[in-house]
Amino acid sequence: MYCYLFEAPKYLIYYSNFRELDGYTLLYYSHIPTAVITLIVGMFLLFNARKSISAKLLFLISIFFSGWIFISLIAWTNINADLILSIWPLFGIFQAFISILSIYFVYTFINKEDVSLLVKTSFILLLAPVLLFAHTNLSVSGFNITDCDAFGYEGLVYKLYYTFLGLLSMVWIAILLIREYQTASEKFKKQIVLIGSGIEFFLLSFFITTFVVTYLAGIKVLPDSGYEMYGLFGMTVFMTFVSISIVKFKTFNVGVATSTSLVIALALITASKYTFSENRFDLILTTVTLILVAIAGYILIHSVRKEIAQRVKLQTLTMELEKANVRLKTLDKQKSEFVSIASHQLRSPLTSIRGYASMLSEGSFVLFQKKPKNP
Amino acid sequence: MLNILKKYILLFTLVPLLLLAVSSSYYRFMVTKDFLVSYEAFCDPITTENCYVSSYYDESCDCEVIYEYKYIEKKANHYKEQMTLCGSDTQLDPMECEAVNFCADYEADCTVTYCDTTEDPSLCAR
Repeated sequence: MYCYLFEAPKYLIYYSNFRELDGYTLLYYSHIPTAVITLIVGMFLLFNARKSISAKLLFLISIFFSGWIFISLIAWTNINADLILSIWPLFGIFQAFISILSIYFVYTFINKEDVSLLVKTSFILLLAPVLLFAHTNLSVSGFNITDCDAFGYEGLVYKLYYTFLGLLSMVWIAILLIREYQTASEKFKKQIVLIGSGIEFFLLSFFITTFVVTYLAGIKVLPDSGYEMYGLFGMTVFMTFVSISIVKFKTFNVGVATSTSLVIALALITASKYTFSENRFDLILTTVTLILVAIAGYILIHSVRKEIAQRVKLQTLTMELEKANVRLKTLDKQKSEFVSIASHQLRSPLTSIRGYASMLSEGSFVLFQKKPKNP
Repeated sequence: MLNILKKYILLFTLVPLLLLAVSSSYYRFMVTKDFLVSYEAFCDPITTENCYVSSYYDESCDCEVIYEYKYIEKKANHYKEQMTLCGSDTQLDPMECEAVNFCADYEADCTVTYCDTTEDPSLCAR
């Protein structure tokens, strides 16, 4: 069953004439670079901080977010109604997972350890309704093959529930961060502000835009859900903040090479906008953004390298000091041994010499040595 | 054992639920096609039908083409069966397939929506 008014895409998602349709101009630019940057940051963290639960959770968030973007691209470009409808419930599922994983991430980011069984159970209970009712009419019940979407058939209660999870996660995260901020060290306070504002901005832009735009498209106030693409940029902001945090505060203990790669990736993705820029204003805006990213990236990398160089120098000095200390200890030991031996070796003859000397000085030695005169 | 269960409780519960949700959605929408499908169907303004009216740009004549239509909503599996009667299930316009332009007697879930002049008369053919 196909949307008969639209052209079929190539390779599942590639629609060559997307620029000719209203609302499609931003399609690939808003989707693909955002997914790429999210996956790059997620994978970097996973491979460089394997023991960190926060890094694993951030990787999972990036997987669900990229998955959401992929199915969104299919829904935008494909014309197979059965296929689009079978992936439609995943929008709610992925959004719900992103909300809960975001809370989980903030918990572990603050406490540096796993959450309690009670919190895990509450996560399961919150996610269960979304998963259990995904395939039912509560989620989606039909498809409009003229408009090629299912907005008019989405269940409002179901949609409200997973949007509520997004709002709940924002409030939950805000409470956790504010509470931690009050007792945190100055350095960690800055990290809290950076990571906290990034994740809150992402959740706000993603959930509010997605809900409002798709709801208005469903009741035909908007012709399509094109505006939801703007909500995806929130993730780029969040990932930028995570990258800055990695570079500036060594969050997740990622090395300088990784930090540099992240900044380069950011610059490359910003530069990719050139391929989609259509007018002079777009080109100027892209150039300005690229220059700003390049300058900020250079300053960050430079400062990190400087700090790393200082740290290496400090480590070398410490090692040299340790070596010198060991040498000093050895010398001290040798000196003590020498003194001990010398003392022992010298004391024995000296004692007898002193004895004789004493006898000589008293004159008793002479008396004994003299032979008695014969009468 | 209990500690492992506690540690990986999210994995042990959510992964099966996720797989269940994905597979049941696939089965419902891809295999059984148990959902409603709606589309613009042929409408004859000359008869008693109160049609919606709209237009589109036609490159071949470099002109706006006005057309009338009604909305039909029916079960996707019925739609698919009826479209095969017209020899195609691919990208055939439903307006060109007589079988899907009305509700058959056996289609309990099928509905036809005509233009309501009391709401917005400009949308209607008359």
